[in-house]
Amino acid sequence: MIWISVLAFPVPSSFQTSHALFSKSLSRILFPFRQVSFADFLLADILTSLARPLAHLERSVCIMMNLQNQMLLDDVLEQSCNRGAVHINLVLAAPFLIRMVQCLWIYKTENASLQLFNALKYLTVLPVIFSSVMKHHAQNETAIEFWIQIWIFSSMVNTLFSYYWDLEMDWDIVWFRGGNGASPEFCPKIRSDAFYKPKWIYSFAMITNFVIRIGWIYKLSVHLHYSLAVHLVVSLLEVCRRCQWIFIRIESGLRKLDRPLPKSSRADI
Amino acid sequence: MNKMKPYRFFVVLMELETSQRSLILWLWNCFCIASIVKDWKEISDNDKRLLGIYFEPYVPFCAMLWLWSLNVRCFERMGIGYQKLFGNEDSKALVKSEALMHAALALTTLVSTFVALFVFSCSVQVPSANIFRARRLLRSKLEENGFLSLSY
Repeated sequence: MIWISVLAFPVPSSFQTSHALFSKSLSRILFPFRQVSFADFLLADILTSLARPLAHLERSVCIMMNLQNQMLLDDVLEQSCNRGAVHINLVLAAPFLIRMVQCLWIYKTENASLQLFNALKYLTVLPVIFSSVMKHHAQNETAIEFWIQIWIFSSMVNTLFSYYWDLEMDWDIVWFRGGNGASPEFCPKIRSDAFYKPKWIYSFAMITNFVIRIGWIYKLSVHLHYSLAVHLVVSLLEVCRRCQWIFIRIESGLRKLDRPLPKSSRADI
Repeated sequence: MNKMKPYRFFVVLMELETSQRSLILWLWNCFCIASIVKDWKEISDNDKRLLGIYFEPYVPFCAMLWLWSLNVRCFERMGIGYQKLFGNEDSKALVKSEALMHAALALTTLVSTFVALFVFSCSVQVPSANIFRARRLLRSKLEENGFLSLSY
């Protein structure tokens, strides 16, 4: 309700254009069958980082509605609003599905074949969520063991694929594909014209990105029951990872636009 | 006696300088935190669980807005033309980091206010009288400090 009122509430004149852009991008990503702008893709990517809080929001609405029907909190948490509930996991998967549709739409309109692989990256999230839900509902030991194995495998695939994509495609760091005719590298190699100085910032970003991405698997896994504080810490770490990702993504985006960054302002962070 | 104008406080708040408004919002946040800390021991474990369930999802959203404004602040300071990526039309709608931080502060204030209200209403023993008690307490505090007399 707070968010709906924030979106619907009249804002000061200095914010009106931004408010309009945010609302427009939000409507465009909810109905993604149209041209995808940078704002749409960025907002949708940010929403993938907020997938777990979105699912929690759905869960809290569910609990609120059921508590009004005089049910006990523990009953509500165990029954209609448990972590394996279909509607909660649909909300969890929604940002990834939206992003996948955006990629497919770009592929369709611009024939950018790389976007098919990008769509595949978002598709790999679904087995993680599905196996986790199945594990949550599994009745016997054999089934639980089976779904845990599927979950571990799909999580590993998703993490490694996403990590590779972050580095090579989003951050423009030379790795398996090589760069400008160069041979593929065994280790990720930072570009010589990297903007941020000192260069170890990129190494730091690569390491933390990987570490937090492993924590990100936890967010998609309904069977891992920890306290809300742990949920919160993991969600905040993911938000920090997205902030870090944006820094380097903007740099690589500008490089791809063939508009060099101003030399005069090459300051250290 | 004149009728009290319900949105007078917000009108006055919007008319203030940005720095003054920020100061008031920070102070209000401190007040909310103090109120939460004060009432924390009074509320039951069940209410604490509900508090977490209801309000925990809002924290990452606020954090994301703060961090996006940090992104923009760094781009501005380093002279990175990030607006170019947004295209001609969308880039006109982008705002400066200061405005973004102000929006993040406003959003944080909104959430902390709701949390403080929730904790306060849970700390009051009789649930049906929560809203009445909160209103009466707020009114008496405002009258004590002479705030309400301005509006009559």
